[in-house]
This record gives sequence, C-alpha cells and structure tokens, in this order.
Amino acid sequence: MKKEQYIKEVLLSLKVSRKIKRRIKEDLSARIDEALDDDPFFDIVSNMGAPKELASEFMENFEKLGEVHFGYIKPYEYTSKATLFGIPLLHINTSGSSSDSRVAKGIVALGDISIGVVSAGGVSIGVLSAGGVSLGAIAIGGVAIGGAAIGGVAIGAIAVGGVAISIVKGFGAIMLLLK
Amino acid sequence: MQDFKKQINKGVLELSILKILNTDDQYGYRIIQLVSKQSNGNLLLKDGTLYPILYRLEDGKYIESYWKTNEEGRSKPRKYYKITSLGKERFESMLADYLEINAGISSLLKS
Repeated sequence: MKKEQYIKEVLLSLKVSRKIKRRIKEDLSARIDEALDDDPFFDIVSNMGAPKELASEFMENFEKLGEVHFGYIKPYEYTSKATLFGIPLLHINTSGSSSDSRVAKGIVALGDISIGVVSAGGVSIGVLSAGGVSLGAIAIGGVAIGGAAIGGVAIGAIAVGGVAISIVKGFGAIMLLLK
Repeated sequence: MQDFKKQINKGVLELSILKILNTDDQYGYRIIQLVSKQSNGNLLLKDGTLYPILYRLEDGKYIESYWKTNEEGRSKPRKYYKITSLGKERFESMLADYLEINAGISSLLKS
C-alpha cells in the first residue's frame, strides 16, 4: 500500500466535514514524510495502525473534543410523549457521524432506518414512505417499491421513474410492464 | 485497568503537547516521539489523538502552524507548530491545575 492509498482509506472511514478531511489529508501526508526520514513506510503505517483503526481513533477524539467544531454530528433521538395505540406519534433516531444505523419506529418516523405510517430515512418503510430505499403504499426514493412508486428505480402497481417497473401503469425512461 | 490508563492519558496529553511546544517549535511526528521519550514511555500519543488536539489548540489560537522548507536538505517541507502567548498562558494555567489535582490525589492516596 502506498502513502496516498493509506490516507485515502483513512479518509473514507471518517465522518467529518470536507474541511477537516482536507486538514487531515495534509497532516497525515506531512507526518508520514517526516517519519520516512527514520523508518520505512511499512513500519510507519504499522505504528500508525490500519486505516480503519486510525480513523476510529480520530472519530473518538473528535467526539470528545467537540462535535460541531469538527463537523462531527452527534447521534440524535427524540421520542414524543404522545402516543397512538402505544406507538409514539413522532420518533426521530439518527446515528449522525457514528457508523451504526439506528431504527426509528413511530406514526411519523425519521431515521437511518425508519418504520412508520409516514416514514423518511435512508431505508424507509411506511404507508407514505420517502428515502434512499423506500417501501410503502406511496413510496418515493432512490429505489422506491410500493403501490405507487416514484424514484430513480420505481417498482409498483403504478411506477414513475428513470427505470419504472409496473403492474398497472408505468412512466419512465425505461419501462417494464408486468402483467 | 487499560481503560483507566487511557482516560488519564487523554487528560494530560494536551498539557504534554503544550509543554513540548513551550520549549521549542516541533512538527507532528516529533511531538509523538518527544511525548514518549520525555515520559519514559509512560505516555502514548497516537496520530488519531495528536491531530484533533492540535486542531483544537490551533483553532483556539493557542498554537500556530507553519511550513519549513529546505531543512537539512529535505526535499519535503515539515509542518511545525509554535505556541502563542495565549497558549503559554493556557499552559501555565493547566499546569497549575494539574499540580493542584496531583497534590490532592497524592495526599488522598497516602492518607
């Protein structure tokens, strides 16, 4: 592995602002060059740790030192006191910059993975659902699957999208009607 | 026990970095070496800890960075960190706090 590849892999595992990534890129590059006066590259990266390990240590310290300053976003969770049939009216559950995915479950659900009547998230399941991947009676998303689906790739009874796969009616650049 | 040592380490590393820079300007890799050497290997400073501390100190105007080129015939420049007058004040204040806490803990443990 070369220096540039090592740094690239560290940066890929960091969830911080672009500004901080540029700073880290510059500093890691200088730091490795500084150490090359004493040691071969292999020994240097052995000391620094695997890219993911180093990135994880950076994140741990960014979290401790101040999330806003470094573009680190804290995980966030909010559950409304009001419920309907024992289910919170609103549940927000996001992981922010941390690497785990969090699940939001509520009448209205917002999260990395969201399940609700009205649902929005990275992966979203709901009656009315919007997200990167969404599944619902009415689904909107990058990949949307539902009764009525609108998305880059839309699969549904009625589908509208770049690629539309439909049973009843489809609108799209590429259409496939299943009957 | 490892967790305890890690927590203590993190608390004193900023003080250690300021102490080193209070003596002379240094570059990142050298700071890592000096922390280990001057603490007789008892303090371990890794890159993922060093740079976030340096960023916070730099953004707080406690230290400044600059590039030094053509040093000892090196083709690549080194990024040096220099303590500011505000940083010197912070160091003195942190040191006083540390010594006070240290005295208190020592007294408590001996009692």
